Amino acid sequence: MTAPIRPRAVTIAAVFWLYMGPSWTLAGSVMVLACVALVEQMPGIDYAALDILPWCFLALLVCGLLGIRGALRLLALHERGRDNVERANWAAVTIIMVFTLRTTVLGTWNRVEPIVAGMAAGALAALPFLLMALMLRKAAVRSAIRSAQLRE
Amino acid sequence: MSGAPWPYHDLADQQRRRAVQHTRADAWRTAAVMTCLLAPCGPLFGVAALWLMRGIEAKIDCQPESQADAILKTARAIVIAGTGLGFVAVLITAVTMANVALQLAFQLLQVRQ
Repeated sequence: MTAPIRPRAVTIAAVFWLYMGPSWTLAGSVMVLACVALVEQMPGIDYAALDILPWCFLALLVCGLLGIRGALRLLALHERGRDNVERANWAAVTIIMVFTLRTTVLGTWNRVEPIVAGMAAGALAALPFLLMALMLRKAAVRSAIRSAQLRE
Repeated sequence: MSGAPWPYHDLADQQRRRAVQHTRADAWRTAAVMTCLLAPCGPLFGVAALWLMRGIEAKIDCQPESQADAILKTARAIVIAGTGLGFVAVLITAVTMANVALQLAFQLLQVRQ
């Protein structure tokens, strides 16, 4: 069988981010605006009361934009796209794990109980992004993208 | 021998075109799965596209290029339609939810005052 120009796993990661990127960007921007509106409209509520939520939504927005940019570049066989998508994946792992830690072991705000189940759910949600980031770091994947870029 | 044309030029060209078709098949199959999972009514479009693309690898390698090309074009059209519909639905949902959230915030504000 003829091998594809771009490794299959890389194509899957790029298309995945082409879908996740816009949805995260949209969700992040709407929720950041909602946080701002809430603090502006409600007397007695400030940003401290919302804890890490505004920062999480802002990070989601940035992560989504990075993912879209990386996915488009990767689909156009640019080596830089791999860097962007890998960074977006690490950012996603960080956002999910920080949110999980804050709402379980470190949290006094809206604490999720039981802690082990909360941590397990967070780790499970971060796992696909971690696997994608590790896959994109592989030397074989890097060289395959580089050689495909040179061929084009 | 320097002036002689390379005899396998057509074959190499055909191999390259098939590699491109394999890459496109990978991309549209993933897009079909994502449409299936993320878009409202997505399973309708995603499953149709996946069903259309079953056994596409063998078709790319063993059948005329035009046949695989036609399948990929139809699958692409189905996936784009599903994704477009999903995106419009998500936009409408976001606007509606923002509207509801703002109205709730104003009502809470009025109750407090």
